[in-house]
Amino acid sequence: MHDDKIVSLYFARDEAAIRETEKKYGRYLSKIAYNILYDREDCRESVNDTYLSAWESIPPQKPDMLSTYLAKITRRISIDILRKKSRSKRLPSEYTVSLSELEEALSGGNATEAEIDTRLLADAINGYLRTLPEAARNAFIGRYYFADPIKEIAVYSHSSEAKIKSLLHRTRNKLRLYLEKEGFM
Amino acid sequence: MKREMISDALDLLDDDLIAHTDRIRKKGKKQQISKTLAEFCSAAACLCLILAAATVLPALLLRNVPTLPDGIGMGYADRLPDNTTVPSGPETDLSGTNIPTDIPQDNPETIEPFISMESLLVSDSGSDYISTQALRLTFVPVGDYTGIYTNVPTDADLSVCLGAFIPEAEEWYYVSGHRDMQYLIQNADGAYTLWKFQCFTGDSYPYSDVLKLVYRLESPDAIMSIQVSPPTMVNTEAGKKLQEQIGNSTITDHAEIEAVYQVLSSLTCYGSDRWDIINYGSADAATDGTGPLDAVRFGRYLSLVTEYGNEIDGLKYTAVSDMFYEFSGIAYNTLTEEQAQKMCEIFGIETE
Repeated sequence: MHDDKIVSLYFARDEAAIRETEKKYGRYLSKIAYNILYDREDCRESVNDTYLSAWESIPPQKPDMLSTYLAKITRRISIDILRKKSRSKRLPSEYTVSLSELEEALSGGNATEAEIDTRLLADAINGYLRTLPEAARNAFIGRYYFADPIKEIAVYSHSSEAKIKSLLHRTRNKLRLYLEKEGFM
Repeated sequence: MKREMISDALDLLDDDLIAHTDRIRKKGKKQQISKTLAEFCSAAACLCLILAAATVLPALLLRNVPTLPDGIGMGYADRLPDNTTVPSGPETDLSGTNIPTDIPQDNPETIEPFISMESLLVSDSGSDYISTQALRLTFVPVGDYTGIYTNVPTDADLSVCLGAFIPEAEEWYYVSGHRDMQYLIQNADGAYTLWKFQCFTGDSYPYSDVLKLVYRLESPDAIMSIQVSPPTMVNTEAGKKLQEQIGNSTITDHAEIEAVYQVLSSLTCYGSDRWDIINYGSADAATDGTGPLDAVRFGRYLSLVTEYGNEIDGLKYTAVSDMFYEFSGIAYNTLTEEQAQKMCEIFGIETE
């Protein structure tokens, strides 16, 4: 079913909206959640909460791209679940590994945490990503937003794992320089 | 910088960036599944071959074998009455696989690995290579029309990228996994070449026929997004700066996509090499960097991304003369005022 029709079901408060969302995007959202949580039960919880969140937010929200809208919700919920669990034990997942890579590249700097506004930082990262060639941008977003394993990124980028690792390394370093120039570090 | 802060910032990435990467991820997964399926089908075909041989060969070998003394028998032949004809096994194509090559055009049961056009096309970084190639043209029947196709350089082994053959166009094949005619593969006595649709022959024809017959776009629902970027014909400092200011954008709003589709469907195409009727702004003023750069300011390059995984990347729009056009001078009729206004609104062109 086309996204527009699914969204109109939400607007009509027809519960078929959830069924159609699950049918079209269930596996897709589960993959996003699994990359972060690495636990099937937690994934199920995350994806179910996503459907609930979508039901509660549409309307008034009217997403242009339903897949991206849902992906953002799942990602946020999954990270929240992970943070709660991480207080008790550190869970290994692609997400935690990928975030460690970024954290390492962006460590240090003169600015304090309190001085950095998340929205402004996001705007800076968006601006940086738009300066990148498409291959580097897709690899960056694939790794650090979707938490895809390097092997998977290599497949959909038609490249080797070694090249992707090298590309990500260079991209992280350039991000650091960019953020230093913008005053975030 | 702590990971929580980085993570929260990544949560606020722009939707169009996420959507674009997601599309690449999905295409890659589809190809991977298709590749795995193709490998599975090959393995299954080999297994069928082995099983068929195991079934047929003993029967062939044991035919007319003389009966051995009691207690010592081949087991099979000596149980058969005299003059029994051993039935042969199933027809097997011993030359290759059992996967048929004469796949009907719209058979939903057909399994073909989807070949992404991105994997076949030479990258733009090799533009010297492309520009030194002479433009080769050929003609292919497309419905009631004759399509003009241009040769596309590729490093790919096209022999493994063949899809179904096109019955009304001898030597011509779809690209594997595709049923549109934007790109076709020609097999001329074992020499494989890749070709891209340019336009139909003839003085004029409705562009809706191109949308349906070549790109298989029957409705706006088949268009996932439209990528819009400024023209790149001006490489001066001023031109590049203006391009940066305009920036790239992606249209995903269904109503806007539908509006563009409706306008495109209404167009009349006048074929190629019609630079006499295309006006996208003063070239002199644009290239010397001192003029108004109208060609860049009022122009847009478009790429329609379809749900079939294709990109229709030839269309350009100019608000200088309110018309669409393409490289090689493919021209279309001038839009009405209302259509032109709508296109400017959707493509982000400020004409005031």
